Amino acid sequence: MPAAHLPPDSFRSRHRAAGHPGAPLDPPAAWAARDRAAGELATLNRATARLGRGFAVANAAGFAVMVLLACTGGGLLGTEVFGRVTLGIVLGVAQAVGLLWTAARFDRRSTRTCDPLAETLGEGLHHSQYGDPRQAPHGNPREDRYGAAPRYQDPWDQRPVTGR
Amino acid sequence: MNPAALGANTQTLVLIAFLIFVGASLLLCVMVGPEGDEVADFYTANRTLTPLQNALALSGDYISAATLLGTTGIVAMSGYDGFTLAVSTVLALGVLLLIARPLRNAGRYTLGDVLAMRAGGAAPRIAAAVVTLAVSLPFLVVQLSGAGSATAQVLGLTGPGAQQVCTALIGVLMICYTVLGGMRGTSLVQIVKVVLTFAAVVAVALSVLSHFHWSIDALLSAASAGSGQGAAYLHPGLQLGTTASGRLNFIGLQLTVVLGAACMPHMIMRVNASPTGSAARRSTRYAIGMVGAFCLLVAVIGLGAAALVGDRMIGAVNPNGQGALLLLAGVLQGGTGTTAGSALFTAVACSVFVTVLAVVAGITLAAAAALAHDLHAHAVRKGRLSQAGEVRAVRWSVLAVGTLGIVLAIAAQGYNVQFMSSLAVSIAASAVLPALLYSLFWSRYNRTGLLWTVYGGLLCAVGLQAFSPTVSGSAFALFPHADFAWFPLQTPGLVSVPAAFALGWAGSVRGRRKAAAEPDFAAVQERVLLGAGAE
Repeated sequence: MPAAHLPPDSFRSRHRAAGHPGAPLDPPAAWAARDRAAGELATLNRATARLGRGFAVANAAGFAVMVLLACTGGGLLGTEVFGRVTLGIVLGVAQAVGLLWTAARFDRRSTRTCDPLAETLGEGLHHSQYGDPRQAPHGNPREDRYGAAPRYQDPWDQRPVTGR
Repeated sequence: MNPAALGANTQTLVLIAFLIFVGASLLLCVMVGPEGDEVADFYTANRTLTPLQNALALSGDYISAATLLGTTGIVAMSGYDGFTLAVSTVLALGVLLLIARPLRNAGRYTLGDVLAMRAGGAAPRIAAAVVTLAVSLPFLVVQLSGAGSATAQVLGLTGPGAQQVCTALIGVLMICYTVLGGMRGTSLVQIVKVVLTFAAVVAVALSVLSHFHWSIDALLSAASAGSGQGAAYLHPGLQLGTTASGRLNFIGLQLTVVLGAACMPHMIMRVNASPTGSAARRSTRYAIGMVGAFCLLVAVIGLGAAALVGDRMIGAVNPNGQGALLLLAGVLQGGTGTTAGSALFTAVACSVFVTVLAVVAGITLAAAAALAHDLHAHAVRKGRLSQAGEVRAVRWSVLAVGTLGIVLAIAAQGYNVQFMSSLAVSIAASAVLPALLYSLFWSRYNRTGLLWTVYGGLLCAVGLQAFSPTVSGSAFALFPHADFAWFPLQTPGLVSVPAAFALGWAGSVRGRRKAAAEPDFAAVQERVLLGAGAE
């Protein structure tokens, strides 16, 4: 078997490797689908990390500057800028407003770029495991969670509700 | 104005308001509480809360007595340093925002569910339960203890016996809410609490600003004068000093608050109550706005307390400044002798009462869930426990945790246990956050690294705190007459957080050498990014 047809090591999910009910796929097609899914997952990971990094760096930098100024800036933060309002108060409020703004931006961008991709990938994963979408559990989300055990391979959610 | 010297009318009004709130909230808890014996219903209300409702509940879980009373007092007594603490409190939710979606995707109910993703067996579950209790119990004790004192003062009851009775009653109420209501009931109480508390702090802040004719300059000038510190009041360094040790203390405190305050187990459980990862992120974003506005109001109230009550009176009632809010409420709108003043004081007293009650209920639920879900159902019974059995176990755990909390809080009366708040936050920053970040994002993390992170971070935080000036060797310590403090910082986070990260890395490297089997990170990534594999 040519090495190019081997499934990528970097994406050997145990959920998939274990096999699930559903329409069996032709092995090369399945590997190609896995390759594609692995690529899309990596894209999602990069997009999520990029957005998170931007948010974290902006706020961490602001926090570090404020703490360092408070410790080493002498009386700089106590300088009055508007009447009795000091530079420290102005920068503190700016830091909080900056957090609000970057949080809103982070959430909006994540909703626009990452969530649709994650949803598509999640649906693809669901269909690849059940083959025919009509066989997949759907309807009441709670029933879906409890009926999704074959997909998740976790017997925990199949526990009886009553009894010991 | 000393709360002990309140008029009889005001005390009656406060008592009636307390009783109405207690009766109404207990009724609500019974009505909305879990109907069946499903664990998802008890732990997460079946994830039926909308992002806005969950944001309100998240804000409720986050705004504790330490924020409402503690931060107000620090602003009143230390000016700029208290203001910085309020900003850091908001910033901490930024850390939660970053991990909210992956955390919800990966998690099911408790911290143990996230940690168990990276290593099988009972050890990660036991570690999660241990660290959850280590964070929750000190926080519970300090909140219950403070609540008992504040309630006794507001009701005009004096003496340690009255404080102990109040502590026990609040503890019993907390147990009732949690046992009867589960996550549904506590969520509702949190939402009611946020609305009530917000209304009360808005009313107090507006009263303060109107007292100074809406002039921030006049407020700042009066606060500087009232604090007795003059211009130094609005400069950094008043709380912890301007020496090298004071600067390090300041950095350590801010860092610990930012990294730990939002990563406490009850916050993690709240994030897991979101229907999806995206909803968890949205809830956290809304919560940042709510808590941000709240902290701004708290800063105004703290300045108002310094201006109108004065540093000397605040320090006389409580050296930590925790009485500042109630003292301020007692002098606004003409004092408690007038109808408006009495109504305002009653509203503030109720908001303090409900704040403590709601927060301790959330903490107790998280601690009980760790005992029942991680320790009993998974570590001991290996998952062979019915859902009804687990719900029974969690109810008994609530009773056990609640009773232990009450006993410890009563035993702590008369001691300065305020450091326990920062201890809980330090443990969360040192043991919970590194374990979460590594579990969610680091491909090479393994069982050894996980255990080293959790136990190493926990031991570092607790050990360093035990030898800090908050426990011995100073007038404000837990044991002021003993001196075994060799660690100079009041908050251990500056050392314990990097140590926990280093231990996690070292443990993972060592674990890889010992065992060749690597965790399947592709499956972990699938779960963290897509929610596949979690409920």
